[in-house]
Amino acid sequence: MSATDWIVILAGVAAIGWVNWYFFIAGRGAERAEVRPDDHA
Amino acid sequence: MTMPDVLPAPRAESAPPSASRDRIRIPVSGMTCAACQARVQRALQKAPGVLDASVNLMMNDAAVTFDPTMSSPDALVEVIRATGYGAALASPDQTAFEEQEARDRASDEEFRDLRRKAVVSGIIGGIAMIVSMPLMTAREHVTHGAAGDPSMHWVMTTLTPTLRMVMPWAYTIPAAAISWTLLVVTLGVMLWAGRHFYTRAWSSFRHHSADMNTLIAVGTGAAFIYSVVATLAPAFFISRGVAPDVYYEAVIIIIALILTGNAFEARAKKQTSTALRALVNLRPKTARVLRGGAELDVPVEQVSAGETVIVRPGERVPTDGEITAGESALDESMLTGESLPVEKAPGARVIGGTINRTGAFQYKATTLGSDSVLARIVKLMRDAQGSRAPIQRLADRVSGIFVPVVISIAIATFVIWFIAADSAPAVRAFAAAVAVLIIACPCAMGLAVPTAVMVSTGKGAALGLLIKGGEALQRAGDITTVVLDKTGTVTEGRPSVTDVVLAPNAAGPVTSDDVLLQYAASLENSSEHPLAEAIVRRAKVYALPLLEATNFSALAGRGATGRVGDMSLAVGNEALMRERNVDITPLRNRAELLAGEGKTPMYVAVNGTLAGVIAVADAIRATSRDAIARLRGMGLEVVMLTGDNQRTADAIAAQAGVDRVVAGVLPEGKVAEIERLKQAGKVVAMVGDGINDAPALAAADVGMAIGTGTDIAVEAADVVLMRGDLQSVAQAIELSRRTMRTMKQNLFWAFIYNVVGIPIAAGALYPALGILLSPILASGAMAFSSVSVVANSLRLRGANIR
Repeated sequence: MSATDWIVILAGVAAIGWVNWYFFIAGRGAERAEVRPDDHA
Repeated sequence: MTMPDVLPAPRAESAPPSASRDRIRIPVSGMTCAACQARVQRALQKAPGVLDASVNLMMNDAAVTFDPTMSSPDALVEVIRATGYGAALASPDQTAFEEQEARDRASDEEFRDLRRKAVVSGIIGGIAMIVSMPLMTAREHVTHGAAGDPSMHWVMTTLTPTLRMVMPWAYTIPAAAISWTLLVVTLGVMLWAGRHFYTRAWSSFRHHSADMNTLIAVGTGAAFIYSVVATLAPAFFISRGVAPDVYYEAVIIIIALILTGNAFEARAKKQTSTALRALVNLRPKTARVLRGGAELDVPVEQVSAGETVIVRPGERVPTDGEITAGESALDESMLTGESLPVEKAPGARVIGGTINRTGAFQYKATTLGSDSVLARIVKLMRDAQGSRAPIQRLADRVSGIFVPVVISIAIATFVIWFIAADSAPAVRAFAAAVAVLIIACPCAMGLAVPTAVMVSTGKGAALGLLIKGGEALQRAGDITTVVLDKTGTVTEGRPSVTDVVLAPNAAGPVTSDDVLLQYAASLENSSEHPLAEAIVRRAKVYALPLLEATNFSALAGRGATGRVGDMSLAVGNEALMRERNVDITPLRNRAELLAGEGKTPMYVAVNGTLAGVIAVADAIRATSRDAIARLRGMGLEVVMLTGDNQRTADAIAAQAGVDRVVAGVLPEGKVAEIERLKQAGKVVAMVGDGINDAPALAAADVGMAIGTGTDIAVEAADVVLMRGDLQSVAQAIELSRRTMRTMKQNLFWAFIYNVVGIPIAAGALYPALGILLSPILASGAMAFSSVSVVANSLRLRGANIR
């Protein structure tokens, strides 16, 4: 495999990681932050 | 009982469950899939002061319960708009009709707008495709990149040679000129026809969520940016051995195809609410009223309660009311499904929207506007059509995680193609990734359940079944046991007196059968129970004057007590007599004989002493026996519950063909019996009509109220059978079973479509069969899947349910 191939693989893995982090993990964190403490009362 | 009893008193839309709660319905525009709906719903649920929010894709609205001290309708509208979708408050004065008409206008407008954009971009896309043919041919010479795609193969082998012959000049235009022209045109199409895809995708991205707009925006956006770079700096590609391909025509055609799919969807969504529109159209626009002795035609909104309205043969009844003069037969089939006209005489109630068939009559207008029977039916149906079936949660859960997963698959597809392709890896990798993004739009999943709910509730209305929501619809399909109340359900509910028997040792004021009947009728005149009404009717037939009753008390499941003159009276069953320490021995045998004949014996006690027995018989409905046989034929267990004694109940059950009877039960006993059946693992439907059935209707998995019954029973039920006929029970269960089948088919095909479509788009078939899917074919397949799901739901309209 060429260096370009390796770059594409690494970029792809990073992109997949970021997509899943952004929509599943960061999204939930943002949601929690928006819920005020008295909402749970 | 007459038709206006068919629905409960109107419940205020904004009826606050408590002082600090308000409920509002906000029309939302621009939602196209389950993910859009989930996004608006999440945004509302997170908004300050919102206690609960439910967004409906099919009805295009949001039902929000909020704390008015912390939020306001305007603030909620802003929350929705911030998600990228349209929202506007409905006028508070709007009736269900006006609201529905406004919705119809909005969906018409949406359909026309989508159609216009789809047609224009389709034409531009077609021209762009022809114009870019020379570019494709040049590209094919360099890369052979898309030969695996059947559509590209056809273009190369059939279309290109023809075009070369027809318009050879096109092949002399410099490639750069074509590319620049296409860039400008594509940008125009993206900004005009496809702008909402990008604005909504961006708006959901900011909120860490993704929907079908994200897939379209990322897919077409990536294709466009790649093409722009290839147009601006072709040398960069050529120097690396890659042809400077452009995908402008693909971007335009993808947008055109998706808009076409959306336009078809919008039209199909409109068709699913045909039944509702038909109901709205029943409302006449004008009424002929009698004012100052003259007949005047006035708009129906100007008719006031108490006014006299004149109706001639063939005309529609403009408002609800009570006949004051004249007789006629009215066609109520549009509301009840009952095809035979109903005879009406002075004193009978008429419903706005029904058709006067034979005679002319005058009536006094009663309920008007949003309180009218038709408006309440329209509202009930709208709420039902907008409600969510539990099976919908499956689709919601999947579509919530679907889009990020698809983006991940598209990236993986790109990487694998880039590494594995033997020629033009970047081009192939790019085309496959875009095809994955485009084919995976979860529109079909979002439409699978709500379209079926809408069509099915509409079909139900045509059959005279008002199903109060998706949940009831789904549960009705699982029913294993049908519990029937006897009076008014299995029987006509209009019993008549058959025997009046004086106690052998009767003494005191009760000296004859007529006096016994007169006293009993005087007491029962205050009761609404069908047995009581039978006694009163008979007394009136005999012209017996009714005396004033005081201290009246109706005792559910037992009878009634009170005072008539200076006498204390009790009329009811053995339990009541036992409770009042009345000795019934002298007439017990006679009462049992009467009960054995299917009659209901009612003991009458005067001043604590047995005075006689009045037997009342309630004829079995003509359709009950066949309907019960049909239910049993459907594999359902049929149980009859009644407050009557065992012998009467057994006699009726034998005539009706019911094999299990539970007699002598009080309303609490009915609930206990239903709970017992439920604990035994049965899914129970309770069918009833009286006040005493309401707790059992609420306790059952599915409560079905006979529409001619009391308001309370109708209120407590999940399904209202507008025709007083047990065949409707079988119809409701059959409709529900078919609907569930349709929903499952829809979900299956929506899932399978993605499970199969995504790997094909990613190129899974290429190594073995050499088949690839271009982004254009993928967008066509995506549009087809949504339309096929809606079409499958529409098949329910033609279901043969008798």
